[in-house]
Amino acid sequence: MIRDIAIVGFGLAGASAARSLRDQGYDGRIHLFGDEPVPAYDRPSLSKSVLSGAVAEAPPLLDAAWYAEAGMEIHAGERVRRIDLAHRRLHLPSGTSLTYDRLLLATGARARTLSLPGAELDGVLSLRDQADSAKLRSRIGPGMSLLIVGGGLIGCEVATTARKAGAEVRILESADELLLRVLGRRLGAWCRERLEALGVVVQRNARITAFEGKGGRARAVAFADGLRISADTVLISIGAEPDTALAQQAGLACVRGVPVDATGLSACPELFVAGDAACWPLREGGQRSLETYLNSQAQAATAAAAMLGRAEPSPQVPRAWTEIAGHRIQTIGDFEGPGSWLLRGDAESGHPLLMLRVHGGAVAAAMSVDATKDFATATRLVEAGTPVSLPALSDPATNLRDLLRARPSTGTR
Amino acid sequence: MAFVRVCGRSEVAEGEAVKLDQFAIPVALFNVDGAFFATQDRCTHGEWSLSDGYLDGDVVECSLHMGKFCVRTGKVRSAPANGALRTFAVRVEGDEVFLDFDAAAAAP
Repeated sequence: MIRDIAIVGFGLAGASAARSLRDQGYDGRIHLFGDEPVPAYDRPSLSKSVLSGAVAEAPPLLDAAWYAEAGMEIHAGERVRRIDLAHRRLHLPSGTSLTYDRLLLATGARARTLSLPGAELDGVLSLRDQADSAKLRSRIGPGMSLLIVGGGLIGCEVATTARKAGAEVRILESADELLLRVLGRRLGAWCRERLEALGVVVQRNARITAFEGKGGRARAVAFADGLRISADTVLISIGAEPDTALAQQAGLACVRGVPVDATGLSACPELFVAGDAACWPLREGGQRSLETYLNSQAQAATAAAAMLGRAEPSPQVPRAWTEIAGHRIQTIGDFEGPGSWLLRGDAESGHPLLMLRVHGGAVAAAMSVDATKDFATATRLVEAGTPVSLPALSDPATNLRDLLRARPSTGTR
Repeated sequence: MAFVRVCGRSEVAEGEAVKLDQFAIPVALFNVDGAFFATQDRCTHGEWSLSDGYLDGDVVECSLHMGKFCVRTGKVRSAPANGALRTFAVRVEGDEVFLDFDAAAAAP
């Protein structure tokens, strides 16, 4: 009988799992532990509406009333010190411990750091939580300048927000194009052009060697070629690393995440992992930490069911969205992979655009720019593995929903 | 208050939606197999337009976080959404669709 479930990590995955447990009728205790002093909130808005000041704080994921009604035992701001897997026990900062029947690790990911001289200077920031966003927000008004190291999703989202707030923004990217890892070269280049049109300066192939400061405060960034650029605010946005410290301490082998099966089960029978901390199997093969909102949600629901003995394997298809330079970009599946790409929409201007990777007679991946409706249909084609023909897909006159209707849906939703 | 004409029947295909911008807040007008329903356009969960969502029967799925709502009642059908949508009364007369911004949809 499962009566005590502990969830360590109170972000999207932790909160989603708690909600799923109650939705599935579990009425035992649920303990939620989080490092931050507040209940789970919408982290993606930290680089958008919270950073711009459009909203005072990140929207909570669940209402305060829900936690009370659902009888959650909330330990926000209580950092679990150690997990004793053999005795199913959490050691808490107060010196006490808590015994669990099932444990979900949902510790997320931490911002990757740069080990360069001066990285500790005041003004060299990262963006991961609400406090980080507030600090950055106070530094991006008109007449201020922001140097962003790393042109990935967070870097480009922040560049958009900061530029719209009137700041001078420069992105330093070590690769020869922005967003290569997440969006690929075509969309990466397109986003760079849109950012440049907003007035963001983009410097590619940038080799930084140090941050320089005065009195402990950042003043400049130095490059390998001897040049320097003055900067009093620097955002390091070079990706994230799954936070597996507790799992490793407990003796689990981790490789960029805790390896789990497609139900979230780790090598230990009472320990489940969901969200960024999980190295989760993919539908197209392999496994990795996905670091996306939608996959974290899906993993949390799957792991919650599995903790209750209702395991339904859910290999993931990566899904993400972003907003860059005012454009809505959505992706499903990996853009790298077998098959051929075809484009629907306005390839000339670059939006609205839907790009589809077709492999083995089905859509394996899709990316869209300002084409949310078509993208929603494309996600169903990908998830259901609906058989499609290249000529039909390529024909601009084809309504994608008709392709979906042509076959009874057999896939998962 | 009063019903005002918002569009012609044929301007919204079955299974589709349009965004109406002439009211105090944006409104999404849905065509569910020939019947019209209206809700607030902004998802209660994220900053996204529900008229950009995916309508399946009388359920719209927000294309941002995949929360689902019944467009007849505004009720949440699937997490992560956790707040109901405001609904608006809609009337169809002949080929014209009318909406009363100050009245909620009648209970089904």
